[in-house]
Amino acid sequence: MSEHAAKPGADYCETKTCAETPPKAPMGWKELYLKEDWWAIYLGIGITIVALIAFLNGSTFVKALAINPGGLKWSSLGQLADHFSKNIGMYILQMISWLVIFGVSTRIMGIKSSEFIPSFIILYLLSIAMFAIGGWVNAPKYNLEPPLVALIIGLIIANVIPLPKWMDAGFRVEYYIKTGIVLLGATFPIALVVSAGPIALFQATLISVTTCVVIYMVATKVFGLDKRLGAVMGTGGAVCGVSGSMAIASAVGAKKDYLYTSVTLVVVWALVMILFIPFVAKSFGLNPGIAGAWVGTSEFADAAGFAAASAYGRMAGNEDAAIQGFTLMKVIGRDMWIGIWSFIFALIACFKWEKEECGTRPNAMEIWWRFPKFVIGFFVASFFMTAITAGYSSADFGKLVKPGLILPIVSLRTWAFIFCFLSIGLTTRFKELKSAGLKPFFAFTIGVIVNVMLGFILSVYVFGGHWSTLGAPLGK
Amino acid sequence: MGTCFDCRHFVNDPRQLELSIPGLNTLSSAYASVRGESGLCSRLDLFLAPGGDCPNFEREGEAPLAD
Repeated sequence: MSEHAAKPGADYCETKTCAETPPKAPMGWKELYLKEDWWAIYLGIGITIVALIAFLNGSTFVKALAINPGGLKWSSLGQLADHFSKNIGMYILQMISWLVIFGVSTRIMGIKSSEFIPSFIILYLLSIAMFAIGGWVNAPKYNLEPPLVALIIGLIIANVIPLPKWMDAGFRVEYYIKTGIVLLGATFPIALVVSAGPIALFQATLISVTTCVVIYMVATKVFGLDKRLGAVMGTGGAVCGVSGSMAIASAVGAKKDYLYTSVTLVVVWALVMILFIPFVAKSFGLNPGIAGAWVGTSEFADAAGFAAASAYGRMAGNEDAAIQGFTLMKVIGRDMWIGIWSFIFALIACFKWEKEECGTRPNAMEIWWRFPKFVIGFFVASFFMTAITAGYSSADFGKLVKPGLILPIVSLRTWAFIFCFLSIGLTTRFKELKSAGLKPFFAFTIGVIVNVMLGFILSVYVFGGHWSTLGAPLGK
Repeated sequence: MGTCFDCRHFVNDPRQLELSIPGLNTLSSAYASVRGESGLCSRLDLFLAPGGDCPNFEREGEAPLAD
């Protein structure tokens, strides 16, 4: 029996020490065209620049191309049919535009076009239906908010109709939400980032640390679970859901099963929270900025959080405020620190756990490698558009800039978000999720309860006065 | 000895990763920056950073070592 012949796991953990050489650079410059974060930046900034050029040249093309039936307020199917018959050409052109920019970029990232194209066409047609439902005059009365409807219809389709797995090629949840977030940056005042960012950072850090510690301690000390599982679940619940779990799983060298368990728990609880938070917020009559901050503190993933914040913002009549609160808390307060968490856990794994088990020598570059680059695009777009629109008076902004430039970008962002919300449902196949086991489930659930309650207290009672002032658009 | 990144057991193709862990693409993505080049060790069933070393290392393209 050779030294390589031992059973998997046994010799590895007994003999392996921290690597003497630092980990090699993951993919270098190739990341610029192989990772969706960068593509989200290119698309978001590119769309913004095209919209700006069109606006400055007096062209209404982008405005026309940004069409969606969400604001129709139709009361009869005849009105809806009339809208589509008049604008069918523009919808076809819009679909082709999305197909080209998403299709080419996903192809470069290695996704098969033969799978992406048919899948995306179906996604686009379903998205039109979601907008149309949201545009029904009675939709608000029945809480038929497009984000929630898209999620539920996606879930029903994915779990009733056996969609082939290859269709996931077009259901790129993260790619769509990241593109939408960069577009959101183009309508997000940079002054708000500067003024509210530190408070968001403080609140988010307080909750993230508390939640992570609770899940980790309950998992390891109360239920006796492996500390690597505790770390993977802890960061999944506290920092950034599945992305957080993935980053920490590799930092500590966790079993695949641990990552799978955490993914399942995050997905299930994130779906519950998409429905739970908006309706609880509604029952309390929360200000949408406050509710957005609460969602940002207590949702696990960007995509799920935007669905919840957007849904509640629409219910409360101020979607901007809810989305601003969520963005400040989640994107700025939590997402940006994922690399730091990853590095900290890698240090703990190497220098504390190493005595018993194995790990890889941490490298501070991990913080940059794992940095969610699309956040850079959000800041650039926000700074760029704030500078561009600063030269307009309030009157000109309301009369010219808002209808000619801002609203088309908002509409295109809403399309990206609807693609995302539908994709969440369409990729969630409950029968494929792993049975987490009772101990991990309870450890994670206790963390969720602490997170939701603490998030509510901080968002409503401690910083409520601050979050309730959100909602001012760019240019004011 | 090389790192996990050069090992034949190391799977970091994003498509393969998303197929290996159902739900991964529901609220995240194997194409995200946050994953870096981390991947699955198909021998040890661990999710690993690419820079680790291991006595089970077998270079990509080499004939498998006898068990």
